[in-house]
Amino acid sequence: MADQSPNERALSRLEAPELMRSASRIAGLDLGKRPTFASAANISGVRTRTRTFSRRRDSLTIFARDEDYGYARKAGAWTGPNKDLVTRTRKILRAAKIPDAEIRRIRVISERGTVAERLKSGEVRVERPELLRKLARAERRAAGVPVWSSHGVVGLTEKGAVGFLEIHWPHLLPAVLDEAKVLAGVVKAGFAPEDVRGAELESVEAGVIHSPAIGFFMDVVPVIRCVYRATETRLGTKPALYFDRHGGRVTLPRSIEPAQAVEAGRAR
Amino acid sequence: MRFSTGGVATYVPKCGGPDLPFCITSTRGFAAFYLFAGHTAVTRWENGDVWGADFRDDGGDVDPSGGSDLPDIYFYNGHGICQNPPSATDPDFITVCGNFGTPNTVNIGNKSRWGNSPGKLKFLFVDASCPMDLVSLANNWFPVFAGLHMAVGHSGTASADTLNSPDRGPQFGARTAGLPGVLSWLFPQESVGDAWMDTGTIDIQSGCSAVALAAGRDRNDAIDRRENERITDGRSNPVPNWFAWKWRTE
Repeated sequence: MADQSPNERALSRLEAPELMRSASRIAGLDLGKRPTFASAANISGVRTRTRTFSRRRDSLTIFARDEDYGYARKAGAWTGPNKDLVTRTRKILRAAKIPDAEIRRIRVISERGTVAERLKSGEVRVERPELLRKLARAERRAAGVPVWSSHGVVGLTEKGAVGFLEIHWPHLLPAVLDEAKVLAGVVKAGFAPEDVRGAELESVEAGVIHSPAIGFFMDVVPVIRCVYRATETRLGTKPALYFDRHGGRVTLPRSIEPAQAVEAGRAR
Repeated sequence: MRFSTGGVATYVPKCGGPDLPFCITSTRGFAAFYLFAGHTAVTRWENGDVWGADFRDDGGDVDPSGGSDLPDIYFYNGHGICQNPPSATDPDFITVCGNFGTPNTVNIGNKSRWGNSPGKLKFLFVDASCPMDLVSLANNWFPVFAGLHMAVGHSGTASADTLNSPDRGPQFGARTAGLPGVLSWLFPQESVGDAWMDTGTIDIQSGCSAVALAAGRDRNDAIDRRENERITDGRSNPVPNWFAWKWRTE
């Protein structure tokens, strides 16, 4: 393409064919003969006017979507049998080279919606909720522990084509899995985390967390996750803390360099 | 777009507890994606510098030092209050722990109105629980739309709650901001409603729901905003005759 630099042209020659093959093999997306290629930071992709397929270069992370997919959009959204959606999701994950043994389960999640009119009398007339779409969400388990940050989400169009796909399933080094197993043993032996004032311990579990799907880092950390619930108040949102084998708080995986801290001391 | 964030991690000892240490991580991550996308921060207060008054429609929400009705977009991460279970007449709350501007607990339906001020807030993102209970949405949330386009939050109970998450806010920011250049499509930019369905369900307990609510002049307009409105669309403020909302339950 005329507006591409020599470097971009080289990347396009190197990566575009494989991206197109992957789009077809994994998501069944036909991107024609000459989709637009782009690469920036840690991600590359190809797209047509309505279809996009991209993948991170530092992780097994894939995004695919059809702009016509969704409730009230041209291609619609799947509301059919769960079994068909789950079966299709398994095939997609297999095509993306996700090991069957790492798929803990595939759940079907329903998205519902409704509308209401505010009448001149001030009353509100609410319509019956309707099913907007179903999505399948795969959860990950490796070396016997959950990998909370990993997922595979599939949304199909009304006719069963892939409309939305997001797979975030980074490679886990053996050392990470070995440590996760040790942490599971520590939990089994009766791990006692730090107290959180105003809350009591609700659950303790060993697992793995990693950087989220959209971001510029790929950090992976085996952890013990402790969830607490408030004791003295009805305050919502539960603290969840992540510890290492010694009970120290771990450094959290990054997505982007956080914005700088603001200076405290707002004037009255 | 002009955005503000309010993140409250420290509640102990002044305001009971517990502390929520990742609220600062979350609001800074959200801000990082918005700044990266070229949006402009109005205020980014943390902990005691976030005041209850910032969310009340009594002049506090237009306080130039941090009112929530001044920017186009406001992202809050901290405590709310959960009933167990909520009823249609139960209020929804934001609960901060401010150095000033008390009381710290804001009854949203009674005290808050957004979009009726010079800055005219368009999008309100509340990452707390349980400030958007489905059963009481009409009582607590319809009245606050005074120019506001969309609001997102969670519906839950004390046993089906959100977890304090370092990822939920930043990932929502990443999907709504519209990243620069080709990153805007390599990483998907989504409508506000879709982005919250995808990220509002990160780190929440089974039975808790991510909820996205839009206002519109008529039925189709409300549904279209719920499904398709992006922060970068530049749409006009809706006349809130109709409301459309959707939810995804873990």
